[in-house]
Amino acid sequence: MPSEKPSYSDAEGSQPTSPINALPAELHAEILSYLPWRSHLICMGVCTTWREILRDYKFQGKRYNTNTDPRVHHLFSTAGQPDRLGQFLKIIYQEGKVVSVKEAASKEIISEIKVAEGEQAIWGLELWKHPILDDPLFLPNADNATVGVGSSDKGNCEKLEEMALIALWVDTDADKMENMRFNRWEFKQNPEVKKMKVSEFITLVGNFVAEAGFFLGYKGKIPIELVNLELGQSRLHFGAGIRVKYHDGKKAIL
Amino acid sequence: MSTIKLLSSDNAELAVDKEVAERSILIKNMLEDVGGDMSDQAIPIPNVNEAVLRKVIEWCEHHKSDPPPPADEDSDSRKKSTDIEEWDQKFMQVDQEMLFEIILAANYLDIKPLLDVGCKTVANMIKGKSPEEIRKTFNIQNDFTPEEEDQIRRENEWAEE
Repeated sequence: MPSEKPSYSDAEGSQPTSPINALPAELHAEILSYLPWRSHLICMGVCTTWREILRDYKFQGKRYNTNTDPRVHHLFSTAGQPDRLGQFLKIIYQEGKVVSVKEAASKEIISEIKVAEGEQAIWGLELWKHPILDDPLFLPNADNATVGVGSSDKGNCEKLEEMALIALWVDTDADKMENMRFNRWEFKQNPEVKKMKVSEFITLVGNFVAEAGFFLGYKGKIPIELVNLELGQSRLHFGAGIRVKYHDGKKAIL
Repeated sequence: MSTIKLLSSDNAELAVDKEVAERSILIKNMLEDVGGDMSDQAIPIPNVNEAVLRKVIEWCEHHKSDPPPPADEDSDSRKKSTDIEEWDQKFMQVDQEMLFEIILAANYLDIKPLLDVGCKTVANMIKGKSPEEIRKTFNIQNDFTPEEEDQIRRENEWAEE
């Protein structure tokens, strides 16, 4: 074997005795894409190159290998129709208080969300406290984040029970739909929240956001958006979101 | 059966069945561009040396009658598992230098199924190992700062929840 490296190898010379360094970053990414997400957590602790690849949102579509691990994360699995408008209430929350409420129109893409037969789901407030939000792979790298709370009923509603479902998403860059990610749960299966007024609920979400480890490093304002969306059945008007499912027999978050 | 010649980076000329060589989309497109007639001159493969090229050709020979790989939108289905068929497993029992050179060559020559096998082989070497074991396996340097090490430790606590 000639000692000469292939010309497209630019391994920065840090480890000349390490053949894996001959691979460009995109082939490292390709290899890592075959691993289940728990392996990704481990691989993030191997070296800075892998860490950067795995944290890069561009890799997220490849990140979760659906069959080699009983847990399943579906990222960017939504698709839908453009140009459907919904209504937005944007509640700006800062330092533990709601500082302003604004109305806005969304132009998000509709995505279909289904809870499959036999899948268990976590509904209710524990979702907000769920470790998925602290999953380092779930963390946005960008400096901007929006937490969205979406509902899927028609028009404005006074009470939360009028809403069909709610979603959390983190939009790290408003201009890039692919950065959007969300979880959701349904009010009808969540009686304690159902009784709350919208304002109480927003406060609750705000408190959650203020305390969530997920956002502790975030320095700017975090707008919390309560979204009223005109709906056709179980459709949600969001852009390229993330569906997160756990198939470990105990949990599922969609 | 027409034969073509490939010229490796270290100037070795290898004769290959056209059908076998066309497992490489790069070569296939090249042949189409020149109208298929390359019988009198060797196609230079400047990024791949003789040893690796022979290995790649061996793989292409064995897989010459495989159905074409699925189109790109099916790329998820090929990731159903990291299972590798027996012949490919044996084929990939090479030293790491060769393994990564095969992956590079498969990528360069655009032989997707071979790239898959190569990447799966490496993925299987990673699976089930600790970060330290992975570093040892591939001789990767731990280049984290103490702060990053700390962060990683916290993340792993989460993972073990």
